Amino acid sequence: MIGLWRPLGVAWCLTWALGASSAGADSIFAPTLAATCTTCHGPAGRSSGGIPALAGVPKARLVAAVMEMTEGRAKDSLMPALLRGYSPEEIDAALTWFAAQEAEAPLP
Amino acid sequence: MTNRRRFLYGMGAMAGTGALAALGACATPGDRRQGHVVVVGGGFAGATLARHLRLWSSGAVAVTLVERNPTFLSCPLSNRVIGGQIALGALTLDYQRLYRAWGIGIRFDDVAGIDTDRRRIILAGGDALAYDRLALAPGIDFLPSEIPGLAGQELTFPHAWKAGPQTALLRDQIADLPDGGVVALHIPRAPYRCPPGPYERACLIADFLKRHKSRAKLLVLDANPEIQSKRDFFQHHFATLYGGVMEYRPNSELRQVDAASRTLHLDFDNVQADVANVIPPHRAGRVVDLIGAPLINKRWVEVDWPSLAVRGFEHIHCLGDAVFPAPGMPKSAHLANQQGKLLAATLLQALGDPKVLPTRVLVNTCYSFVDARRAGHIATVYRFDEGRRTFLPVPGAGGISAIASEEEGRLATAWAHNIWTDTLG
Repeated sequence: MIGLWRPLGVAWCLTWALGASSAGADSIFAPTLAATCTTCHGPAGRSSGGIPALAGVPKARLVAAVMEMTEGRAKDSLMPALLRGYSPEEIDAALTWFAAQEAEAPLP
Repeated sequence: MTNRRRFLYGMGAMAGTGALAALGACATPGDRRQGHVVVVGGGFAGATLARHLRLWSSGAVAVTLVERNPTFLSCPLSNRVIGGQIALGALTLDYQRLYRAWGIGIRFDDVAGIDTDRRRIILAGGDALAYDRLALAPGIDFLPSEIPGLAGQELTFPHAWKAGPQTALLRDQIADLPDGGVVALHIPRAPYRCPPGPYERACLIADFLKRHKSRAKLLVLDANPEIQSKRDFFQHHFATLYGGVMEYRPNSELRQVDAASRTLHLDFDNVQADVANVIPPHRAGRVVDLIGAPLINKRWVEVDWPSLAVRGFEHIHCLGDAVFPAPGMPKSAHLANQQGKLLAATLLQALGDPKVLPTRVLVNTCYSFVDARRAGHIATVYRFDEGRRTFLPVPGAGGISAIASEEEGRLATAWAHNIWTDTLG
């Protein structure tokens, strides 16, 4: 599947490079989309450990981590497989949202 | 004052001292009350729904959660209690943050009636709660009467398929097993809650026997023709780790049990066991019968996707293990949590908040341990298919571990801690 996926990885780079990542944004609502990730990564991406935290991580770092996975360079096998279920626009929206979250939860 | 009064309405459902504490510490309610959602069942589905309704409405939607148990007990990781790796206390969480931090009213009570015409539910304690939308997340109930002799015998034939005293009972019975004794584990026909769960349990019991009762045997009696989840993964670990201690028998449907002799009657064979873990067939939690919800195969609630509306009921929704699943969708904690969020967004739209768009993606991830330290995963992404009006697995998006690893064992524990927080706040 990685072979099939590699061209998509390139497509993302192009999407980002061309600044066209807002394509399809009308149907994407980042908080509910990102919430499909928080079951594993913790509320708003604030993982309690063991699974990477996403909240407040600079987007460039999140993008680099995703690219590593989609290009088959990550040792993890689960996340690259899950990423295949999302469009580049969705991944971009989710990463933008996580990067904008506070790393620490505000006190209630 | 207006805000406070509006909020008190949502809080009106809250019981005892918790209500007072919560009023002092609760999140600020939104500037307008958008409605009242009553959620029945505070498991992974219901609690996640309640919390996300508050989160995404900024407190504008009042939420009351009705739950019969005073604490939350996690089924995920509970096989590790049976295997002797962790204590039941490690899986016992409370509902405090749902009312202290999220301002959710909680009633620890049973539901006695649902008046769909007047849109209110009546609690066993006698109170009535009016709702704009009602969400039923009752999980499963067992059907022990499907196996003659089983009803009323859950101390002799513990199921341990709802975490709690049953989990501790099975653990203790296995710990007290005489060396050379026989443990039987019966798996009902699919669909049942947590498809890989029985096979994980088989591994962890076998692991315990190998280390502490080396002459004992585990007999896995599966009513199904083959392993129901992570098949190659479990086949591999059954053979390589537990060949000497475990025997796996497919097509072994239980026809009758005898409590006095702890005997399991199969089609062509009888098994007398020292410990008999019988997981009975199950169905949607019986609270759905209060509305006469349509059941598929007399067991699972028929819902419309993606709204999770109970077929034929405009203001009532059902989610989690109780629903008849979309194709390939297991009854799992992960999907219960994901459905909670899907329904939260759907209800907020219905209650007049057009900006909260439900996602059309659902994810499942499930880890299974094969021994005290090593685990493996199964993962799937589902997307809503507009034409077929259901969620379908995305080809290629997901997979199953080939071999268990300690790294995945650590991830499994981390997953549990994060889903607990994502569900309970």
